[in-house]
Amino acid sequence: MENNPRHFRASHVLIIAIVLCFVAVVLGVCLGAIKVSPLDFLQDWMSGNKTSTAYRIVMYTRIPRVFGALLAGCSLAVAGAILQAVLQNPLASPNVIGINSGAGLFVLVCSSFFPAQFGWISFAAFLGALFTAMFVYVLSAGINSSKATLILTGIAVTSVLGAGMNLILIIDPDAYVGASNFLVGGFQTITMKQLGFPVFYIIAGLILAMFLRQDLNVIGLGDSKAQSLGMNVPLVRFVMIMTAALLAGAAVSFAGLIGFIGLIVPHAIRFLIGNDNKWVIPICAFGGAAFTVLCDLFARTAFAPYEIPAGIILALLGGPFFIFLVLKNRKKVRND
Amino acid sequence: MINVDNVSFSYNEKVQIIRDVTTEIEDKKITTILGHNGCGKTTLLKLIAHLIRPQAGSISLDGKDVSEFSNKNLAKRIALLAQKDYSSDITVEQLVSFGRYPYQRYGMGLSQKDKDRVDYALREIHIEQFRNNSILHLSGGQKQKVYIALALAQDTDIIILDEPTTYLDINVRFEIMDLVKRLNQSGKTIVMVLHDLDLALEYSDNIILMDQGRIVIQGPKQEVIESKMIEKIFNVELYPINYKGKTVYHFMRND
Repeated sequence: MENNPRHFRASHVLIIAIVLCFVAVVLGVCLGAIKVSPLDFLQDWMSGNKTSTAYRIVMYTRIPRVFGALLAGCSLAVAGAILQAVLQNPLASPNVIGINSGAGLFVLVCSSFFPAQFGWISFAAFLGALFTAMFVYVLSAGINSSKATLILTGIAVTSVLGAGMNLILIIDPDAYVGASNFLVGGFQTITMKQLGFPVFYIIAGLILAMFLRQDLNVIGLGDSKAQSLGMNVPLVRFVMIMTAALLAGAAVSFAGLIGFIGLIVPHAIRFLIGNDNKWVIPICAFGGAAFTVLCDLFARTAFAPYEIPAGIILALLGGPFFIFLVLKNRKKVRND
Repeated sequence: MINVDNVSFSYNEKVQIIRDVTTEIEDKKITTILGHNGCGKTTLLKLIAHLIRPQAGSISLDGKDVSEFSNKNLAKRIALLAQKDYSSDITVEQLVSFGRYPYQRYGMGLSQKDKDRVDYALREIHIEQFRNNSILHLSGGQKQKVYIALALAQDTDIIILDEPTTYLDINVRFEIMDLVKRLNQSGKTIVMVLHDLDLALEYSDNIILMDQGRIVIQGPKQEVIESKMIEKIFNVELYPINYKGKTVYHFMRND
């Protein structure tokens, strides 16, 4: 079982994704309204000069922002890859089936009712994401649905949850600082403190995703075949959806309702290397991180000194991409 | 040996798909289930593979109720080739390697033993040359061979096939059936549903003939043929033909 050209290609794509991720981080830290030379920053850092402009920009603005984009991109891309595999639906992604909105609603409810409990936000986001994912899945599976039904159910649920979020913000406008940014999704106001809790959820989710890679492949054979190969399909499916919810919820808790990363990145990766989730998952992690950091970089440099939330750039890219996928899969979506 | 004892099953309260079925699947034989569309053949296969649970009666494997097996232990005994076509962009080798899933430790890759078994399955089914091809680019017959290789990689003593020759060209049907025969000769117990009566009678040792969820007749092929029940159920006439030293079967519509 040696010399598999696909493994060869996938390993190269993984290396490229890792390098791209590193390059994106360096660019993300150095570029912006004010350019910072990496050498200047390193000199200030080594000499302990914490009052220099370069040091302050990088440490207090750029690094939290890039780190946030890195974590969100990584987790949402992996969550998307998991959902597409477990639901056997190429159109599934955390924002399309309502997981992001579920997490968002719980974040706003938590912020409104327990404003002092900062650490609860990530857990609330996870619960919101999990409940929504299970609700959408059970509702669409319960009526012997087609792939289109899952998507339509997700859109309906997203609409209801969006109304809930708007209602909270109307009743309690101070529920969340920077609520408009939260609804669009972006990384402008991120602090390292905000990332403290989500990072543990994301690490746990990524470890679970790496363990589930072979199961994701096998469940893609269909429930009957997976069961005949010895898989406890309902249990494994629940763990997979929970993992996707953990990752998406953690990302939403600090990045807001940022969308389409979980749709664009897994499809691009599958286009390059095929459907082997043993490779798709780790490449999505690095590719999603790099993609999101670069989108955020574009969002804050393309119209400098003005900047727009990364969520807008992703929506502009993701919306047409979603339509493209619908058209490409229309026969499959209609019939399956 | 698989024993099906007074098994009944229905998907809903209105229609009972399987009605009080009792049968015995002999070891190391080819047993084929025949019957009209919707008579419960595939449902009986699913019950035997424990994909669905009977509402009455029991199914046992070597004297032990199949529900007492863990999922993975049962998967080490029974392999199933379902009707569903897999349409994901993965290689032949990878698809065949899924047969090692019941043997893999959680989160671990393939062991050397697993890899050797996958190599053996690819070699045995003569699809080594396709190992790095995407399954999306294979013909129907090649795909069916890959699924059979997957079952072989699963290393079970029982292989269940649900319509393995459907939608295949006539020459490929013979190829697939020869392959099934070869697996049987290597010691595998084969249980299958076939729509091709001629192939069923040519290749099977035992026949189970079903109608409206019940078994009409079962037993060695010759006994079932002599009972004339196949002709009655399908409203055909059967003509055995001696060709190159073996008996093949031809069917004509009964006017």
